[in-house]
Amino acid sequence: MTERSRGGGPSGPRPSPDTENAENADAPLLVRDRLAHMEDVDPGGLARLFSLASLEGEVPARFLDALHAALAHRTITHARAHVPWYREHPEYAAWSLPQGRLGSPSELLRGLPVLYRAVVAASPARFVADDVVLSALGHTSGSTGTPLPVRRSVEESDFLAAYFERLTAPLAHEGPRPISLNLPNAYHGTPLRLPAPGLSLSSGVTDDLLLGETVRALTTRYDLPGFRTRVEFLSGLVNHVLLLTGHLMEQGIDPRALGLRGVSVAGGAAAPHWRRFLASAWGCPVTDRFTLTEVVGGASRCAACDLFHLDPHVFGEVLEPGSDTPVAEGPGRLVLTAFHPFVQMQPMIRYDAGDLVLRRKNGCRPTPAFEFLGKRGNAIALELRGRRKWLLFPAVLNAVLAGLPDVRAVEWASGVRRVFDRTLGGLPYARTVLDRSSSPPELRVEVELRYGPHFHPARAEEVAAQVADALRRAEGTALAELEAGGAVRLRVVCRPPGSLPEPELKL
Amino acid sequence: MLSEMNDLVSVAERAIGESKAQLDSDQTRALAAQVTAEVVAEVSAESSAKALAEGLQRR
Repeated sequence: MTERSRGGGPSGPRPSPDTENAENADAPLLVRDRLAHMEDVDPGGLARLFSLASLEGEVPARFLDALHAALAHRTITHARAHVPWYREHPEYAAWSLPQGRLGSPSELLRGLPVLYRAVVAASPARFVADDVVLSALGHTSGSTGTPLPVRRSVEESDFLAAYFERLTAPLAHEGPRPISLNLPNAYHGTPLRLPAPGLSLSSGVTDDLLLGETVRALTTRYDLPGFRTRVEFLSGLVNHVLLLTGHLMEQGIDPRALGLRGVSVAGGAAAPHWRRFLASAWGCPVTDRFTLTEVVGGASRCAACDLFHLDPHVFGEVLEPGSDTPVAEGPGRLVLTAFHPFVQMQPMIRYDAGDLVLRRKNGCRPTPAFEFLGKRGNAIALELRGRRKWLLFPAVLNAVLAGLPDVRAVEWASGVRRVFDRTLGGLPYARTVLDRSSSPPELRVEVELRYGPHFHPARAEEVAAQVADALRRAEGTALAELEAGGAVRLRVVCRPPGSLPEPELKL
Repeated sequence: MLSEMNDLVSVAERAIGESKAQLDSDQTRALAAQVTAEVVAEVSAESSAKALAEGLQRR
């Protein structure tokens, strides 16, 4: 390897094409090895490296793998040295570089225990690093169990601010800066503040006063030197954005006329029906975001392939439930690693938050592509001859029910009197159960309608048939195959309003 | 810390064929917007940065 390929700078005599090709081939490994052992990581430089590694092509993909390997090494090393749970865990104590050298990120992480929320929740203090200072205390929402405290340090907050400021730098010098409107939520405690390349306004939709203010913010013309004159971007939880959209329409305001250039939704499974509705109502792109409080980052639904792609700085694995076997294609549990220095005070290495995803091969970017299937605890499977056969995924059921106006949804915004339809964004009333006592086992799906099914029997039958058809066609399940073989029976039953309990808070 | 990282950035730029002169090109600007858009966590009060950046890259 020449001095030049060791990063001696771009100046100096130009090497021959063959030498240059060889240097370029080694470059990702060089970056990996030096980044892994660097004393401190400069956030601006790392932002630039991730930007380069996110470009299309084979070489950037190799760099992305190299960055992941280097940061995985740094993350494990830091956790072993500074976090009691990792330091004392036998697998971490025994961990060493595979064959004495840095390999791929998967090789580095292989064999380390998968971390579950219950383990962290049982002794959160043992997951706190001793080399940083507390800055903010957040928590998971508790919608799927006991809230988990999430600690953020001064050091990681500073790093994240500098990292994202560097990422947005190319956007910061483009004439008048845009104004965005955010509908923040208080479900996660102290927010982690990140720099935005424009002016960010905050409002809400959860009471009449806030909702009125939100409409005013959207319809106001601003006179702020250096900024554009209207709100152009909107973001919030999907049910908040849906409620706001419905309210505007109820008031005779055409959201398209407000001229937004982007809407972003997060914090719940946005069913395809509602994503299409929002895109049509606002007349602009809608970004669907998959996030976890415990991990700084997540995934965005890709406009090209309509699947989620993980953020480049988050490492994801899709594993068989109950084992460490990777899933190349098909359903599996999503296991995420938050890299140091993005997450410092409460490291999450191989963290399983209980999410099922459908891993797909045909993603258009190097980061794993997947579709969200819902929480594992709400999915239904049947063990047959020692093998798990998936029958129903909650996100698939939600997707079909969201497109059926007959199905009753939770009136989640019952206190917002200005809105006429307070169910927009609410989960549909439905209940699923696998009755193993019947022969063959019966998968029963009960769906609550907005009317008594006996008043409109033909329509109710149609609804049940549509739901059954969607469930049988769901990718990743064996329902149709098992039904055809007589191993299971699906029954969809429509119920009158008020007959089912409140649905789960999350799918 | 900075010079060592700058070295690595230079190595990556050279291997990928991206020069500093291209730092503010449309492609890099779009990439910055895309990457920024995709990393803002649900916990962030500034999550509108995500919508904003997504929109900017589509301009």
